[in-house]
Amino acid sequence: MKLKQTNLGEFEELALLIVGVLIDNAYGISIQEEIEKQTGRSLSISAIHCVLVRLEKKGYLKSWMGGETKERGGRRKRFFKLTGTGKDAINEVRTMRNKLWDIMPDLSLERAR
Amino acid sequence: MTLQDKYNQHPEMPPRSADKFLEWYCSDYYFEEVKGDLHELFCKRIRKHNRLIRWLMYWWMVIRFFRPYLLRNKLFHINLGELFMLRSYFKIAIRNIRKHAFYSLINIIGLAVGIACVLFITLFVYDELSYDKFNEKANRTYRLISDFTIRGNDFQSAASGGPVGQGMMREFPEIEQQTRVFSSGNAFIKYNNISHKEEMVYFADSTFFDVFSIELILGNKESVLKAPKTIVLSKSTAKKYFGNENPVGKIIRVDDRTDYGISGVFKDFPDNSHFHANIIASLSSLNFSVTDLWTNANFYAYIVLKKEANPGELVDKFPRLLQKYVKPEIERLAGTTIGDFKELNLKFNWILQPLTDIHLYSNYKDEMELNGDISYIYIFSAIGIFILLLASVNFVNLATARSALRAKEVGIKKVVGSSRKSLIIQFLTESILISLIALATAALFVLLFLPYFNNLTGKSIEYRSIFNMAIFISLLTIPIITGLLAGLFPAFVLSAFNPASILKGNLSNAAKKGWLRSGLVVFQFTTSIILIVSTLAVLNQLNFIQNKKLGFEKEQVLIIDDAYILGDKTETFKQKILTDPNVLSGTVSGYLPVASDRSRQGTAPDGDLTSNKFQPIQSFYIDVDYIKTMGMEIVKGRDFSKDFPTDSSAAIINEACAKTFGWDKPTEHTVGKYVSISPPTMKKFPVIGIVKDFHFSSLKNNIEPVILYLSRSNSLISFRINTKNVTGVIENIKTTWEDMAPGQPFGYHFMNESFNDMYSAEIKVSEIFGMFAMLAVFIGCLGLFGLSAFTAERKTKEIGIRKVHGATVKSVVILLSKEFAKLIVLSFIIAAPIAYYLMNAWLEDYAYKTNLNIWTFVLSGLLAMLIALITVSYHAVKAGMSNPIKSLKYE
Repeated sequence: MKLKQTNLGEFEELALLIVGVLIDNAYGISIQEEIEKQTGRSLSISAIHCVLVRLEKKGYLKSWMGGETKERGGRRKRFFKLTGTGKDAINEVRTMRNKLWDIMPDLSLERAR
Repeated sequence: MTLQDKYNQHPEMPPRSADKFLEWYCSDYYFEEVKGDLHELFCKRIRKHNRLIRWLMYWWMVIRFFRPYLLRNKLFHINLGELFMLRSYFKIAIRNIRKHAFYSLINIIGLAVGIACVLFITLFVYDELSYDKFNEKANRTYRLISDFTIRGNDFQSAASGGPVGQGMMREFPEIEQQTRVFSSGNAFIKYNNISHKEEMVYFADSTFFDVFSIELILGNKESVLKAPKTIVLSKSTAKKYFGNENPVGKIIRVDDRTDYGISGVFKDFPDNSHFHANIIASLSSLNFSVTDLWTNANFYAYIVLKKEANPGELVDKFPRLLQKYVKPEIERLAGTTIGDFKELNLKFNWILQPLTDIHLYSNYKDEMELNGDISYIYIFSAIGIFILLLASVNFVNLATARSALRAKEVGIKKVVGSSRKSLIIQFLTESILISLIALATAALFVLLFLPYFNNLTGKSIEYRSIFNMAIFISLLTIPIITGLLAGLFPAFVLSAFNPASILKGNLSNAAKKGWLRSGLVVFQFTTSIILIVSTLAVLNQLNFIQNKKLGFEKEQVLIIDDAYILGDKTETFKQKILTDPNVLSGTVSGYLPVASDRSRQGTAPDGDLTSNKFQPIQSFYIDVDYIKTMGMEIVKGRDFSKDFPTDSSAAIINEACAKTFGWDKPTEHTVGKYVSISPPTMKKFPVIGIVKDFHFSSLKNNIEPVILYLSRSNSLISFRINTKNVTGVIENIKTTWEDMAPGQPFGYHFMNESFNDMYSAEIKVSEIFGMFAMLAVFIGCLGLFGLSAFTAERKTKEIGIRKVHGATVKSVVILLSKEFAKLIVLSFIIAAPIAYYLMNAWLEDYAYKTNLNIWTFVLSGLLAMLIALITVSYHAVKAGMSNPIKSLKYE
């Protein structure tokens, strides 16, 4: 199988992974909270929304509007889910990374302060 | 608990304005989820904060969502049709301006005057605020102010003791550099045959050019002021003596005594410096620069702090200096040990004054030059804004007044399909266009009147500084803002007309809404009357100062400058001049009741050192003819006299001094003058007479105690002369001078001139207020002129019918003027208390002042009324004289 060249940014990769983790409850705020919980990074909701929309355009995510909520003043949520291509993309990144780890010799390196 | 429950508990909602903004920009596709997310976040995280934080945080989130992918498609879409409309707006605007040339002209002239005022004031304020900022280290340079209390007398001087600056630098590592400047006033400089009197001569430490960013044209900034007897000249001073020659290495003679070698030439000080040295000599030339005391106030000391240093912390360390240096010094001088400063009612401290504050905020004793005053910046800015407002008022008034005439245009446009928006744009285009034309006119005014402005403010602002960036921006924004402000109201009122009723012939309501116009006219005239009252009140106070009995006769006294040049020959010189029958009397003394020498001496009643009335007292050193020549009056005892040789150790005190010491019969007492600190000694001078109180400083101050001593003081010679032949007398004195002091410049002035100099600030204020008052009245009258033209025009038919029925010209004029007269009366009623309050506050500064005169107010009111009526009467009379047939047949 010839892989399509995927160019995932670090943030995009993180977003895809988190959407994957959250399975059926991935929407703006739950994603923001999960990122904070898992990585300790606090990101603005607008930045997250932006990356989700971009990933959907690239075809890695699909989205649908949820039903009426009692919360959030009755507004509906947009839920996201990984697509097959999305799954392939993070997989590819993972394989590539593992391969590189395997060939890197174990050296003791200086740490940047 | 669900979020819904939380909602119910905390009914605070996200700010609606932010939600509206979101709704405006966000495309419908995403709006739902984004708003939902935001509200959810608001509930979870933001609502627990207080109102302001909540508001800010929510808005910030909404603003961060403003990203291209979320925006509505048509948000920034430019409609091509509207672009073409711009041309049409512009064309119609120009046609309208030309069609109503009279009103346009009134608007343009009024606005131009207003804008020109604001521009001038911007120039002035900008210049005032720029003082000393040219120094690279300005923001961390400070001047040391001495803050002393001796025997309950507060004493704050801009100068400080000789060792203070260097001592601080030694003690405190956060001080990067220090320099001292000593003012020696005037000096006579001689080179070959050229001799001039030079003003503003200073001595300074070798670090001077390191602290102040004055560029050296010749010489090295580290070394020019190092060696004793070296001197640097300003470029213009050097030019006077050496032309285009290189002055470095040449020797000049100062005061005919000491030779100095020129080591450098510096660029003239910029105008916006708090002092302007023409000549700076090395401070190492003066012995007392080393021997001076901590407790003196002879030097201007400047320190530069290191970048990271905190001035507040430095001040907190000052008490260390007191313990280490000041206390031992006082003990050494007094010959005894002293305990606590507080017990002795002594305070010695220093204040760190930021360099850039000196010009606008500093008013201590011994200032180097007369400083500016921040309150004038506020007053002028306020006046500038008011004048611009007055001009904008005209604009609004004329536009709404004429709205009836334009109503039909609006009606037709609306019927044809013009939107309200395009009508508003149309009217705003007109007003902005008018204000741009006004701007061009204002620029012309500024160019024309810049020399006059410089003259009035004593500044030398050049044409090119107008093209300074900051000023340029204000130049462009001012007319656009005024155009918008002035045009906004008429634009909204006019565009709101209902086309059906206009076209049916009903005049719109706005045209009849007289109250707004009346209100604005009242505003204009209130401002004008306040300015007129202020001007008159200042003039009144000046007049009071001029005519106040001063305790001496300031007229007909001629003062010879720099008489010390005559040395021992001063008395001979005086006697020679007195042979002229037109010279009535003469006195040799540097201490005059106008600007001249001053000194304070520690003085105790009856020489009692322990008395609580022991304090520094003004001491004048005079000769036997002084009181006679000055026209002062002895109220008790007698004047100094040649017939009493013992008078050389006697004293005459003024009434204030007798009162301070609490003496009923002063001639039975003596005054003890402190002559030595170690051991403390008093010399006692028996009081032989009391002189009537005379003013020797500005009338802002109360008359201080003064003691007159018979002693040599020869810096000035004053003559009371007969004014019949002034030029002859001066000619005669000059010949004698040249005879006795060959080659030395001869200078003189009249006492009343230097008396008036004390009040130059007041004279300037009265001129500036007068000018602003004139402008305000002018602008107000332009508006009235336009309005009266409009009223007369609208009432053409009414006047015609009245005349047919037998009305006279007089009754028509009264009919038309009555309305305006009422407005002026109302303005006066509002203005009078405000002006009264303001001018009372201004007069507070004076110890001797006139009371605000009722006539000042009446006169101002009448003046405003008169000017207004003359303005209105032009059109009123014209309407009254018109032939009723013409006005009635016009339809």
